Amino acid sequence: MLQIQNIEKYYGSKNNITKALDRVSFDAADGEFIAIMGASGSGKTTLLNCISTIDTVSAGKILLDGTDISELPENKLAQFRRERLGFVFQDFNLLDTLTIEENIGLALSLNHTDPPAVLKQVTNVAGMLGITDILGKFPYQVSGGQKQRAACARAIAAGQSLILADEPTGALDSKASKNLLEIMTKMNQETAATILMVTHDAYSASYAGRVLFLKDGRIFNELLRGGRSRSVFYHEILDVLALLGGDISDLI
Amino acid sequence: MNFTEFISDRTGRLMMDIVLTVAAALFLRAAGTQAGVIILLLIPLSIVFALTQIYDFIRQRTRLGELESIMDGLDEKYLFAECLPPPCTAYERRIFYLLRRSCKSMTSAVSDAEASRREYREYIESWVHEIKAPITAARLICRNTDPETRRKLTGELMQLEAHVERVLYYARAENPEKDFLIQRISLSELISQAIRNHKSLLIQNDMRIDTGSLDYTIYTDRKWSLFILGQLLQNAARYHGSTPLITLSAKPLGNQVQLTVQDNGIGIPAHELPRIFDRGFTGSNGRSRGGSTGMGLYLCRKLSGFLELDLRITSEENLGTTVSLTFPAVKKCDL
Repeated sequence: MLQIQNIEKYYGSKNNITKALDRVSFDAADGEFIAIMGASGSGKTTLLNCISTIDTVSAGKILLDGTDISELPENKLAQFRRERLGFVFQDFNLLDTLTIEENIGLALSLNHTDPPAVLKQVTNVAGMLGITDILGKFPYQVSGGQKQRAACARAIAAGQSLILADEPTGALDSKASKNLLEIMTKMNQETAATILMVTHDAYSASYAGRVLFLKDGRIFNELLRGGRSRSVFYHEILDVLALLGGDISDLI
Repeated sequence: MNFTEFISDRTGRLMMDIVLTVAAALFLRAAGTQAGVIILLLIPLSIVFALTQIYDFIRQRTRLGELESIMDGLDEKYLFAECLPPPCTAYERRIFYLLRRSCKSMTSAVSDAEASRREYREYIESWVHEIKAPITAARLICRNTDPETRRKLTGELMQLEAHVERVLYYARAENPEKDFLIQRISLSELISQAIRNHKSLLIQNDMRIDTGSLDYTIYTDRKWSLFILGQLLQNAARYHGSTPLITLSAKPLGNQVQLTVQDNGIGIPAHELPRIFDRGFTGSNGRSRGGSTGMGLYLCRKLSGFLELDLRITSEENLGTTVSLTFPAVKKCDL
């Protein structure tokens, strides 16, 4: 589904160059739930930005469903993003002037789908995520947890096959986080959407089936959950984090 | 970009503009407009026209200056596309996009080449470590044989070890900065160690060693310097004449110490002397004496470059070869 091959990313200004990603390679199969962890500055947000085509890579290839998105021109990229990628951000990024229902149907509307089809799809997704009762409200009228669920709904409404989440539980309290992560797991299982979640929180990462650890722009370690329980996996993640950078609290 | 270049790009268009303006003026005149009115019209038109051209020129020149200074400031110029400012015009956006694609392919190629070299070097290093075990084992087995066999076998094993050591240093010579440790070292102690390391080889070839005054302190990496000295001693042993003698002496040269290693061996023919540092060059002596890989002096030249040692070789056929190696040191009177 997704193949990252030896990507590098340099950030440069007038006389200064930094290497943010150093030959990162991995594959993601259909329907995988992958968490990407690392300290700040390890390159995880850069990696997500490159995969989501918000930024371009300096070297290497990114193959999404066989297409090399690192070579697509700007206009094709925009279309690609709209059709295949769903985004969930830490700060929700819902439009305050639209209702929740309109926010969710945004991608579909932009794709020129006719209104009845949009309505049907939005109702479907809202039902799956348990937010049918707030469809008529505006984002500033609902809680953070509900907003994030709306963002998730938006991310899958147009049938997007790859969901990219950048610290989705960052702005939520622990109960809302737990709800959101359970919903994301449900999304992953019912729609077979591949989810790539960047997080610095081991609890969130433990919901994933696979965790990649980034350090200094390189993949430092990889953990697979296998058939193990979430709490066992959580402890294993904590162990790797302790190895990565001393105290776990350093990552926050 | 200077003004002439700028104008020459636009000559066609400017000519067209001037022709049209003149034609319009003539038309108005023919249609009855007074000459004065036409001139009154032409003056502001020309001024605005000239000003827009000058404005365009200044903008282009500033932009190009900006891009040129970015390029000048970069060491790895293939990363130019990463340092570009955001494009100002649609044309620039498309050109930058082409630049980015080109630089991306270059960066990928460079990165792949570096990665494969690194992998190869790591393989060589692990191989060298592994091969040391059987060689050591063979040496131990040697001890339990008769003296004649032991002597011969040890000689061969030493050659094996010398080749293995050279392979390791060749692999490391690409990035010696990873393995660098400059220390304050006693020259006489360094030379004793080098001689000790090659004791068997020197004894086997009946080499006599004469050491002059070597009581100096130098600043260098011990391991790399030992390797270079080792190569020089090996060469003296391999290309020895009758009654072989190696003379080692040192003298201060300003902030440095110059070590001279002189032998009375078969020397190097004058027409081959300029090429002895070339990679893989064995020459007529290398062929006649056998066993030369042509890599020893190449490595010495490379490493002495990194260590900032001045390495020079002079020679006369059938008389001998003199190698001078200059090390950074400290003047004793400054201490």
